[in-house]
Amino acid sequence: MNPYFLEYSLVAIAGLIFGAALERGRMCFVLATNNMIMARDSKILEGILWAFGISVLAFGIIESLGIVPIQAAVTGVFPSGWYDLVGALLFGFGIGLCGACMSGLIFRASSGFTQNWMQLFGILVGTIFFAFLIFPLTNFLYWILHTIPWLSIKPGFSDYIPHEWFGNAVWGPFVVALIFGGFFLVLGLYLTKRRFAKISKERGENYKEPIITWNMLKFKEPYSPRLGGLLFAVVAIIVLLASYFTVHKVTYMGVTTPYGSFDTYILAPFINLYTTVGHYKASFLPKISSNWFQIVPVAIPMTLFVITTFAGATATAILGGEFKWRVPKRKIMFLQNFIGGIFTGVGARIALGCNIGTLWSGFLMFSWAGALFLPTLVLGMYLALKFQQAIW
Amino acid sequence: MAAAKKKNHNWCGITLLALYGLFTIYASFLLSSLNKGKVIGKLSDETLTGIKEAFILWGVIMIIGAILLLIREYVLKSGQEEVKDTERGVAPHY
Repeated sequence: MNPYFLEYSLVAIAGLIFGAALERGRMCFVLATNNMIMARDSKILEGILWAFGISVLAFGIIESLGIVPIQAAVTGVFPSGWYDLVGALLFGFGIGLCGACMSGLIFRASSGFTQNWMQLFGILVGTIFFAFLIFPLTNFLYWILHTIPWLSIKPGFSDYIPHEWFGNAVWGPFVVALIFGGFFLVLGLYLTKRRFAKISKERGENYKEPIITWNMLKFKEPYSPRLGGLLFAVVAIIVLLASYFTVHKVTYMGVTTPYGSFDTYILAPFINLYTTVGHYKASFLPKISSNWFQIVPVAIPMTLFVITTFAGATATAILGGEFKWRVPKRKIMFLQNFIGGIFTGVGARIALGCNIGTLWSGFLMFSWAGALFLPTLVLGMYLALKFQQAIW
Repeated sequence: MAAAKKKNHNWCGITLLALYGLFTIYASFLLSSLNKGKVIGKLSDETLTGIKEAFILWGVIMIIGAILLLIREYVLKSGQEEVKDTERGVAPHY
């Protein structure tokens, strides 16, 4: 069997599961943060922490046992540095304006939330804006790879924490996973226990939440945070193993670069994206880059993954009786989502990924990308919240 | 007085699912022509064939899924329940 066919097909199955986990588990970083800040409700945040914790630990075990050797795992590690901080700030502000992160966008748009379709449109426009203006004008690729070494870490072993800390020791990934994954799991467990204790006190009885029930499996009830988190981890593991055992090339989770592919598929019949239209000459820059579309693959497994994720989320929304076209009461929200989408698209491109591709995958690939992305992401979301409170 | 029964928009969702499928099939046919114009990282014939076949397969699966949901909705009528209020706590502004 053609290994590429097998890889794409397996990754597509993972996409369906991911869509179901997103839609049923309401897994959205903005929703998690807003609920935590405004309502002190930790339920969705718990799901995200469980997802991070379980998946990071699983990746550590997989790499330490040599199921996916360290040498193969590092081939997928991309550089991290100052651009994670800058990109995450813009990205955080954008998703804060829209009220949905990249994962939240998928499940909301798939359930019929119209303003999130506008956010998606904004992201596609933002990606084009980045590809033809920011990318060539700032000579983006060059700055990332060469000119600010003290603020940039090169891909591969240079940005692989187990190698930095423990050299070539095979147990290195497991120990690093235990530190990062353990932290997420302990925090998730603490928040879950605290929420149970709070509900128990309110109801005057011992409250416990099952991880999985028949009603969850029949799409009658939303998934528990722990089930949502577990499915996230399963999806990341399927993507990693499917890519390694089929075409021997490691793939980590990511959803924003596939949005660039959507641009390609939508615009290709009308304009040639690989043209040098975006090839500007700026004499003060050391090297001229072409437009961004010229350096990204035409199709990556994650493109099909994102489409099946949309399909999975729409199917579970229908099966759960929750699909409905929802139009915001204030029509200005369409404009806000479009502008927020542009910020989201540009920010994600500057940071080389979004809350999935750089934040989550940053931890999964044991690089510094996730840790660099997180603080300014939260700052961006906080600024967007304050901005909205000021103007509305 | 009983509350008015909310409208079920499942047919929109089913159409959307079928559209994902059509988009996937459309994307598969564009791959070859897009690959010709690529500056960096051209795909080999084996890669292109594998990717195209997977895209077509999944496009067809999504369309079949939409047809099955259509049968569930209009033949078995098991999907025609009241739509649930999911706005609360999920998204502001609605």
